[in-house]
Formats: sequence, structure tokens, C-alpha cells
Amino acid sequence: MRLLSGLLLLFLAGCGIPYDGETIINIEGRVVDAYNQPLPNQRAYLGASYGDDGYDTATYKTVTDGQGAFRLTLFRPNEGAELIFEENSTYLPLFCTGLHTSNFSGLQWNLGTLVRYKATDLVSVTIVVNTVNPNSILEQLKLTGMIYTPNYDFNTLTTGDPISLDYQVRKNQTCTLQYKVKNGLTQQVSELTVPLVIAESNVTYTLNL
Amino acid sequence: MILVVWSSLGLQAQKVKKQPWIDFNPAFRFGFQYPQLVGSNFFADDLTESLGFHTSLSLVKIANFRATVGWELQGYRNNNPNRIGNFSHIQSSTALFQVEYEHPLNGRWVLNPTLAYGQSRITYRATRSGTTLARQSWEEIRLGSYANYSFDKTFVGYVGLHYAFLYNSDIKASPADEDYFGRGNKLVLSLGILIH
Repeated sequence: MRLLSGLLLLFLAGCGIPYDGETIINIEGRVVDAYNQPLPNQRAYLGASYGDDGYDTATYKTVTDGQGAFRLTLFRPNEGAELIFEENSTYLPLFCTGLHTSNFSGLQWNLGTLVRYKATDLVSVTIVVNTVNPNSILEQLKLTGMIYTPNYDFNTLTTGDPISLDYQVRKNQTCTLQYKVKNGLTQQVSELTVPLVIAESNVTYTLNL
Repeated sequence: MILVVWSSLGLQAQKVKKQPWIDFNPAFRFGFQYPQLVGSNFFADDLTESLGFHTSLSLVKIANFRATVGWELQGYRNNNPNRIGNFSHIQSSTALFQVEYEHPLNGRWVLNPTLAYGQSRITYRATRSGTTLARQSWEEIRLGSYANYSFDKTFVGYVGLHYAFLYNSDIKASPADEDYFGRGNKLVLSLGILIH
């Protein structure tokens, strides 16, 4: 009888119910600003997909405490979920996607430190690729540093676009431009890095290959 | 003299009517119940009870023991959306398998001590009739008694008082959460009609 009940539950769980009532997890993390200062009173809610086109946003909400920390005790989402910090009068939106068992093990899901940016914190960086040597093939290009992206993706399977040319970055920092260039004749791949100093203005950097 | 003795023996035989060892005398019970959640757990701390409904059926009595199958429907309201989610309504549907003993007290009163095992499906909903958001399977052990008052041969009124221990052996959680969200206790007061 118990086996039948369990099987029935398992079947029903796959039939469009957003949460697994038999598994309780804790999602925690810390929210800071662009200068690593804790952000209290940041409101977020969980968006959980289920079924063909179901999406629940009303069941789980949280607010950061005085240290910028938050903690949610919840039934584990059956399918993918995301933690959403909506845009408000001060900060740009932040979507933490990939909250799924394939990306987190155990019952404690630690999202780490999440950074929220104000629009006034940011300048744009544009990379212009200038192919001087026709045999040079740009295979990968990435800027690292304090960079704003609305989507904080926990999907470990997602590698992202190998070549990104436009960024919104925090002012007053030194970013690192990492890129890979392949010689079409020799097939040799070179990995290079270039420091980019960001001040108060937008930056356009020409990368000569 | 033989005739006098013979007739008095016949009268004695009529007075002592033996109860059959197996009595195919069905008993159908239905009524309302009110649980009182107790202890320090999710059910007691974060839910509010409401009136529930129960029914049960027994088809045969063997040496004053009855095996009964029953069903209950019970609703709870969530008082603390910050605990495990903003579920407005939680519904419990329970199948009970019960053994009860009929202990006559006097001509109209009968005491029915009972021991039951139940399996429940608990559904968490956004609203009373809204989307199902999560489900759980629970078990319970219930001990208590009914007191039955016979109005006539067919209709009996009863009150019941039972203590139930609830547990969810399937729940996966941290030890503290497993204890808080996976156990429960309740006193159940019931009132209804039993029909033979």
C-alpha cells in the first residue's frame, strides 16, 4: 500500500506540480553592492517552472537581513527555478537561474555572494576586433572583473557565448581581457591576456589580431 | 410435577439468549471531527485546524471485535507563510484501518476502544480550491475510544476522543527540519451517527 502511494506520488509529481513536498532544502546567499558592502532589505522571490507552461512566483519570498544574508527553507523545486531580485528605484535586476538538482547537491544550496549594481556604478566596454593577419581566427574572448550581467547562471553545463564584445562594468577598476587566437595555417592556439583600465567613462578597445 | 419442571426449564432457555460469535451486523459511522494539534512541530506551530469529516464501515463483528475501514477529510490553514511557503490551504485525506472492541456499559451505552493505522495524502494549495503546489505522504497511529449511545436498534449517536501520532518516513531534510516538518501529534474529538 505504501509502495503504491509512493509510486502514485512520484507519478503525480511529474504531472505539473512545482515542488517536491518530500524534500526540504535551504537556499542561502549574501547580497552585496558593487563595492562589496552588504545590502539589507533586498527583496527576492522564487520563480519555479512546472508542467507545460506553469510558473509559480507566489510561494517563496525572502528579504536580506542586516548583513545582506538571506535564507529560504522550501520544498525543492521539481523543475528549474530562479531567484529573482527585481529592478527597483536603486538597483538593476538580478536573475539567479539554474536552481536545479543538477547544479546543487545535498539539501543546502549556497548561492554564494551575489552582487547588485546601480546604473550609476557602470560604464560600457566595447571590444572591436581588428583582424590584421588574415590567418588569425579569434576563438574565444572574455572580459573578467566586476561585470554586471542580469543573469547569474548556475547551470554548470552552460558555457556561455565564447565571444562577447559588449559589457557593462563597474567604474574604477582594472579588468582583464582574455582571448584565444588560432593561426589558420599552423593550427597553433595562443592564449593571451590584456589588462584594461576602466575609469569613469565608456571604453572602446581595439583588439588587433 | 414433571410438566412444571419442564416448563420452567424452557423459560430459562428463552431468558439466556447467546450472542453469536460471528455477527454480520454492519456498522456505518459518519460525522464531524475537530483535531487539536499539539507539540512543537510544523503542524502545531504554523497551522490552524478546522472542522473535518470522517466516515467508516465495518461489516462483521467477531467476538465483539470489529475491523473497520474509514476515510477522513481534514483541512488546515497556514498561519506562517515564512516557514515553508505561502500555502494558503493544506488538505489531508486519510484512509484508516481500525480495530475496535465493543464493550457494553449498560443497556444503551457501549464503549468502543480503538487502535488504528492511517495513511494520508497531504496537499498544499495556493488557495482552498487552487493550484496544487506540493504533496506529501504521511502515516499515523491512532489510539482512543468512541462512546456510543443507542437511540434504537438502528441509530446510534457517538462521541470519540483519539490521540494520533503522525510521521512522514519519506521526508528528506536536515535532522532539525526532518524532526520539525516530519512529525506531528493531535487529539481528535469526533461526533456523529452510527447506523447498524
